[in-house]
Amino acid sequence: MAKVGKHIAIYGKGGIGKSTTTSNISAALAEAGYRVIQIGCDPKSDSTNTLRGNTYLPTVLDSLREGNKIHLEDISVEGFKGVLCIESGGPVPGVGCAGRGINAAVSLLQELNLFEEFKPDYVLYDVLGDVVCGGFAVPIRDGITDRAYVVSSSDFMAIYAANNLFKAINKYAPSNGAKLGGIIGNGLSAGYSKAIIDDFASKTGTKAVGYVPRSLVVSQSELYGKTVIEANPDSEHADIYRKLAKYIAESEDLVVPNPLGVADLRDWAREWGDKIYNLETGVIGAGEAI
Amino acid sequence: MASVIEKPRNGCALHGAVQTIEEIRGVVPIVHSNAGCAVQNYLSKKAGGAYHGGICGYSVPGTAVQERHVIFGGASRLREQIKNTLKVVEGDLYIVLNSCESSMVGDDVSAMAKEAQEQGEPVIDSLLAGFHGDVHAGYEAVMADIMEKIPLVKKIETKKEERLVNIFGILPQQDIYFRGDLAEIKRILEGIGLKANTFFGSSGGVKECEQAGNAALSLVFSRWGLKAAEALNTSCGVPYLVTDIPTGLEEVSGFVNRVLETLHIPEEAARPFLEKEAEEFYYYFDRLEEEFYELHYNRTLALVGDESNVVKLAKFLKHYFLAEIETVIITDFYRQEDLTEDKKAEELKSLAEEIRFSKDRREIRNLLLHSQAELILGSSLEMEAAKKKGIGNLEISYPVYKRAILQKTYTGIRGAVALAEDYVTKIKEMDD
Ligand SMILES: Nc1ncnc2c1ncn2[C@@H]1O[C@H](COP(=O)(O)OP(=O)(O)O)[C@@H](O)[C@H]1O
Ligand SMILES: [Mg+2]
Repeated sequence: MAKVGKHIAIYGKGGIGKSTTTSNISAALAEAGYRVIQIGCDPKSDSTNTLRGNTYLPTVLDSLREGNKIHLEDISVEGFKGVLCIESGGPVPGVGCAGRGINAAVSLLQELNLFEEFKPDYVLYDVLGDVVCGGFAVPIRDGITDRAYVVSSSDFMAIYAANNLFKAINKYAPSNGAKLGGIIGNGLSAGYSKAIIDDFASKTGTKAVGYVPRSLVVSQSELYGKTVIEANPDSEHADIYRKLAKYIAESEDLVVPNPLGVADLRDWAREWGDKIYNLETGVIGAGEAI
Repeated sequence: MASVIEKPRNGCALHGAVQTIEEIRGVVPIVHSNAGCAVQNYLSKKAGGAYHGGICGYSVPGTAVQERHVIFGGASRLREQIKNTLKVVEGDLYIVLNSCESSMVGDDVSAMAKEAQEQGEPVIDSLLAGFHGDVHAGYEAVMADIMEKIPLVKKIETKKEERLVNIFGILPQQDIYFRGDLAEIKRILEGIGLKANTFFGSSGGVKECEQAGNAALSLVFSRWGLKAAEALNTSCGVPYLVTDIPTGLEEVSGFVNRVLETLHIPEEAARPFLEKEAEEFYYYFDRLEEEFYELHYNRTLALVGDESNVVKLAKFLKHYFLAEIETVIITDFYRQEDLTEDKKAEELKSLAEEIRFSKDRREIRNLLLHSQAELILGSSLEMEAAKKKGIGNLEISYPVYKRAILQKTYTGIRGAVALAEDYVTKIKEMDD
């Protein structure tokens, strides 16, 4: 299957801001005149909510469950500035196999000739981030996407999830899997947050490609059922997302990361624990800590 | 440490469970798997040479799971299948078997069986997945599950039967002569005044499973029967005796005496029977005497097969034909680490010069090609090595092709005679 458009996977720990960030990137790209598809690959199926004003959209797997013949129109809807919104969906929590579900949904979209029909410039996959099993690695395997970004805060568990994704990329990259574009810092509030992300990036051979501070604008836009780009186009945050979108659209700087081993990651975290404590208690200045 | 096993001769645990319960009359299997699992078993069973009856192969009720059942869970599909099976397939006991898919997905199979139980239906489950082991593990688990769970669905009158004995550890289909083996053991036990629960075979069935808890003793003929015997011991206090499968007069006498001793029955009770058996045994064996030295019955042998059978045959051929057991290749182990705990290995060392464990056809073939064996006792897979060496291959283990096996056995007294016939025939054929 010839690939139409650039296919980009966005990973990250649950609740870290993948869907928010991805939707704003999609909105920014659409605003710049590109044809964009955003595919939510998370059983939560709320990836594209803010692109389509929280309207009802049957998921790919909902249709698969019915067992009827599936048409693209049934499982996709055009949202803000024509972004084509699709949700893979999944089983009810606690039963079935969501990993297999992602796999089946992606295959089905290919069978439906989605990309040949829509001719996108960009396809963004918003993927559940704890790469818990093979199913969730599907978008970065088998050449489905050729690049992945990870959304992370400076919290240890978010970085832990990012490191796990790096392991998966490291494993699959040699066999036509996706490479890593970098880390998108999100929800950063403390002064040292950037420094932690930068340090982790340099330790693993990658880099941070943007930093999105925690902000009320994001929360408010979400409550309106809109992206920041749509609800607050003139805000500082809208520009942050535009810049990020432009970078991701244009950059060809992709790497195979070197994930940290379990012990190394723990030691690295402990070091930062000491530094932060000293920072907060005013023992040393921020510059020295980095 | 990946390695390739060429033509591993054993199917998976689900296969083992299916082929076990298909041989219990009155049991209906319900397989929660994709359509291929039960059919595969049917195909592989054809290589067992033992003709099956009842519900098997294409008629095994199953959920024929599809991708959407994997994604969304297959429990409700199973519920539907249990309901429909109860409606259209007559049976005394329905056993739901799990598969690799459904256990990976985590379908709540027990809940579905329990639901049916609550509606008063005789449905139990056995949750082993294919990947938990090979056919032996399937037999082991499903028999233990039946023993444990049958009281949940059957009203069983508990009254000890002082003379009733359960037989565990002889695996349907995997032991290619299982019907004959069971019949002969039953004949021997009845000869000394006992009753036998064989579960399988012409007298077997769900009734025998129900009565198992009332037995005075369980006999365990291979390690694969231990779990079921232990289950009965825990639930109903039935003691068990682990024993080799007896073949030949000496072994049968020893076996009989051990059983009686365990049951606190005086050995005298068995004397008339054993005397009659001895008479029969010698009557036939005396016929072979003349040719013994002339034809050199004491050949160098290589044996390939499951442990309990190989031990049985090695003992007999060594004792009665003075055969030299050069190589023994055991095929019923699952993980390599199982071998380190193998207590039987010690006993085997006294029987054979070299003991190997392998399921790999190529490795087995190479071992055989390098051995000094003058006759192989193995499966049809050993035919190639035998041909290359220009020697015979007497089929004793799974799989066997191009054979119809109904009542034949190499167990007990009658089995000893049959074995002598075939052994000598092979020697004559080879010397031809
Ligand atoms: N930069 C931010 N500032 C404020 N709130 C944010 C920010 N990023 C995400 N959020 C909020 O965090 C919550 C989780 O974000 P979401 O994008 O749904 O996470 P994910 O898709 O990773 O599970 C949402 O309520 C979202 O509005
Ligand atoms: Mg999300």
